[in-house]
Formats: sequence, structure tokens, C-alpha cells
Amino acid sequence: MKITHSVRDSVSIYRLSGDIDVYNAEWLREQLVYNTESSQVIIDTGDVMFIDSTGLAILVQAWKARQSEGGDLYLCSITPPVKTILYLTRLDTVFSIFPDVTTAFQQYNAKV
Amino acid sequence: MVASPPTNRTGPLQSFLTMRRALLKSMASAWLEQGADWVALCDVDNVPLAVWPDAAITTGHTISAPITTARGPVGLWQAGITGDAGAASQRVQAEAQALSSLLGIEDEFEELTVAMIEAQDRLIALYHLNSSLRGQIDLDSIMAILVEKAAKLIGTRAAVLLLEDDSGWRISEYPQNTVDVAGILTAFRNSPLDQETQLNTHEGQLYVIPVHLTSGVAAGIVLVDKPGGFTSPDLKLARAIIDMTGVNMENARLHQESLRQAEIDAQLNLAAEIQRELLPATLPDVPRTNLFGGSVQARQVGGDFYDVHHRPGGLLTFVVGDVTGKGFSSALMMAVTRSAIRSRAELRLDWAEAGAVFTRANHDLYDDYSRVKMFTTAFLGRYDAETGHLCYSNAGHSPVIYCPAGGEARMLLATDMPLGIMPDTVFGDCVITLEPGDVLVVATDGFSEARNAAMQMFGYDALLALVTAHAAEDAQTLGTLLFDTVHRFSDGHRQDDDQTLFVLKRE
Repeated sequence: MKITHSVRDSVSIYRLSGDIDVYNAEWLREQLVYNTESSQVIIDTGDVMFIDSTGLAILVQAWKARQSEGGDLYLCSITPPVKTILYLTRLDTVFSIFPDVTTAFQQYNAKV
Repeated sequence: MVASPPTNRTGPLQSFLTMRRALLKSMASAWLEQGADWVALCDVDNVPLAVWPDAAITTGHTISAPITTARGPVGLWQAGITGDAGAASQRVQAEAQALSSLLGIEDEFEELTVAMIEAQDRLIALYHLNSSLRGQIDLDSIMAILVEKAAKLIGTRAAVLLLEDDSGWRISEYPQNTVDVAGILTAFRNSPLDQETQLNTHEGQLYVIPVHLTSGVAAGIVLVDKPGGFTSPDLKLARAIIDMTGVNMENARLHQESLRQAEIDAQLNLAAEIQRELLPATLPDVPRTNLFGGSVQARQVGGDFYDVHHRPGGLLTFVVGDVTGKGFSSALMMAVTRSAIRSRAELRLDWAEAGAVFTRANHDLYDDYSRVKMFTTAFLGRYDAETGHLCYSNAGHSPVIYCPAGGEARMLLATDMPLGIMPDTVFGDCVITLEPGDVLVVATDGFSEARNAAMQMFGYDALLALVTAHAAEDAQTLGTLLFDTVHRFSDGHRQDDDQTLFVLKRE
């Protein structure tokens, strides 16, 4: 899997591509949970076609970490397989999900 | 090997005189026959070591020429002449040169002899070192032997052997407590790992030789101070010891690793056994109902579980859960979660309170889950075998499949998020009635997400189709078929996730 990271107006934007599973979980945890510079995070999963429960746990951990800092973590551009797994686990009720990065970014700006 | 230089300058000439007296005497006789008054071999201070004829007094006109070797002048060749000194002077000089050459050759020969003896001594010492290491498998003992032999053989003030392994730096020094080990460790860590380095430190002159282990582990020996400095033969010997060190330390390290691995394996096997004990050994005999339960962990231990509790004449409570992650950490949380749900389920006796069990268990477990950064999906059902009523709560769990007798299987979707996500989640209840022939299959995602070598997933649709096709079978047959089919689909591809299955069929 691959991660690219950019920061725009204090919002950290991560673009993930590839499978998010137990085999790259620790690396992803490092990036999303510990390395992030901002409490406002957008994760673009537009190129993720598979996520297992370990991957979901990392998203939840990252979300909890940002919430505890007074920030938030938004998901955007989710693909049908990721949408299915979020729906089946009802984690779609936990995360704020947006159609694309721009909309997610506007949401942060609207909060300010 | 290089012999030590002689300490007094008369030595070589004196021994030359002893060994070559006949030659010198015949040279002197030739002079005497041709009219010389006397002939003498003197040291550099002009003190005669031998005079011909015996006891002659070395007075009168003397011609003299120095005898020199590579180390400089060692003596004089002299003759006492009464007549023409011109030709005699040339002759004395020529003979002194010849003696110098001869002495030089003998010097070299002696040096080679000393070097050979020394080399042989060191070879014998290396042989003994190798013998003493034989049969040693304890890394610390091997390091202690090696460092002591290295210091003694090379003749250094001290030697320190260092090796970095999982538990940190192992350090062996000889002699004990004579050097600043921490300072030497720092010097070693600052030295390149791919070449030898000589350093002058407050501890003295250090010579650092890295040991090349095949595993790439950092290791090396530091030689501390050698009187007269480190010579080329010293370093060759040190390298020979180091080569031996590398092999022996590697073997010992691998042996220790295998012991450690065996210990971990034993602990894992024990943990796996404990975890198996946490799963129901037998399923209860529930009237008009047949049940099947099974769990195959992807690793020795895992995060999946199922549990069943039945009060004779009362409710059947069952739960299937999947803690995120794999291995030991998931297994520990699985045990905690199973206990929390079980104790809450036993307190709630009303059949229509499945969600309340999760609400309380989630409250109990939330802090633990947050600390360990995990969560659990779980399905809990309370089933009344008399009426077929099933009250369930689904905390983010899938796949859960309901198949009415003769009908199509469909998913029972989660009503709530998993346990451990938010502290005050209130979990809801759903109620369905199982008619005779209806089947409920509660699996974990290890079934739906099982992959084959081409990385294709088994998928929910295949699972639904399989249940629809075989819903007429009893729970045992259907459960076994599901395990077998997914196993065949994976066709040798490593099982990525735990697979757990609970099947309930109303007869």
C-alpha cells in the first residue's frame, strides 16, 4: 500500500492506495496515528479496494486520537468495497464520510 | 613474524665470532703469512673480541674498516701493518664488507628462525583456543574465552569483545575491570563496521576489529594498548582469532535464538490450549434445535471466539465475536471480552435483552479497548427453543446469515457499531422467529474475506449461495461444509484471518 501526505491550511490530507490489511497495519498506524502533524485529518481512500478489521481498527484509533485532541478525522472518496465494510460494521455511523477531499475540506472550513 | 631487535650491539658479532671462528682465523692467518703484525675483530668501541696471533698486542700502525649490518655498525676488522698500508687498506675494507654481508645473511636467517618459532607457538595457541571452544554453546562463555585468549596471545593490556543482540549489548572484557568499558563501547559504536580502525583515546591506543556475522549483527573486538604498538603479525593473529570468534559466536547466538524460539513456541502452544479451553467443549442439547460451532485461528492464537450458554428448559444464549488484529494481543482481548459478555449475559435473564448485554459489556470494556487500540464486532442471540423466537443484537458483526426453510439466505445486518468504539453506545435489539427448517449462520469475516492464491475473495454472495443450497442439511453438516468449501477455495493460500462459525437450525 502507499500513502501520500499533504497539509493544506492546517488540515492533514492522506491519500491511501492499495489494500489496508494486517500486513501493512503497523506502518499505516505509524503514519496515521503517530506521525500526523495536525488534529484535523482527511483520509482519501479513493484507491483502496480492501480493508480488513486490523485496518479498520487503525482508522478508529486515528479517529479517537484526533477527537481527543479536539480535532476530527474525515473519510472521503470511499470505494464500494470500503463502503460495504463500513456499512456492515456500522462504522459508517462513527466516521464523517464525504464524497471528495474538497467537500471534506469545506466542512473543516465551515467549522471554523 | 618479526623478532625483537637485539638489545646490545656486541651480541651479533660475538655470536658470529663463535660460529665463524675458523673462517676468521683462516682470514687472519693469510694476513699474518703476508707480513701483518696482528689481526683483530673488535666491537664498535674498538675493544678486541678476538686477536690473531693469540695474545698479540694491537699496537703500531693500524688499518681498520667497519663491519655494518642493516642495524648499523656492529664492529671493526683490523690489521696491524708495518710496511705499505695502501693495498692493505683496500683489502681490509673488502674483507670487512664481506664479513658485513655474511653477518647480514646470518642475522636474517636468525630472524626468520625466531619468526617461525613464534608463528608455530601462535598456531599451537590457536589450536588450543579452538579446542577449548569446542562443545561450548553458551554465548557468554564463548565470549569470555575468546577475549581472554585474544588479550593473552596478542599481548595487549586488555581486550573487549562486544556483540549487540535483541537484549542490548553483550560485553566481555579481559582482564576484568581494568578498562572503561562504557568508553570503549562508545568508541566501538562510533567506528565503521566495515573496516578496522586505530584510535588514540584517554584509555590508550585502541585497535577496533569488527566481527562479520552472517546475520548482520554488530560485533567486534577492541584491543587495548600493546607495548611497542600493534605490529602486522599481531593484527594477523587478531584477525585469525576474530574469524574463529565470528563462527563460534554466530553458532552460539543461533543456538540461543532457537532456545528462545522453542520457549516462545511452548508458551504459544500453552496459550492456544488455554484459548481452546475457552471455547465450548460441547454444545448443549437444546430441544428441537441442532447446533454447530467451530473456530480455526489463522495463527496459534487469535481474536475470534464463540460462546454458548443454555439453562435447561430456558433460553439459549450464544455469542460470536471477532476482536480486531491477530495473534497474542487479540487473544488476550478475546478472553477479556468473552468474560465480560458472559457475566453480563448471565445477569440478564429476560430473553429480549440482547442489546442490553452489549451496552453493559461495552461500558465495561471501553477503556481497555481504547488503551489497546482495538475493537470487537460481535453478535449475541437469545433463543427460545419453544417458540423459535430469537432476540439478537449485532454490534458491527458480519456475516450473519438467516435462511428460511426452502427460501433464500439473506444477511442480518448490524444494528450498531462494534464494541469499544464509543463509551456510551446503547445497543439495540432485533427479533425474528425461526420456523422449523430455518437456519441461522453466524460467521466471522475470515469466511467472507478468505482469499485464494489469485487474491480473490470468497465473498458474501458465495457464502449466501452456499447456505441457500445446503440449508436443508443439519447444522453439523452445513457447518462442516462451509469450513471445507472455504478451505478448498483458499487452496493452500495462507489463512489471513481467524474463521469462526456458529450454526443454529430449528428442527
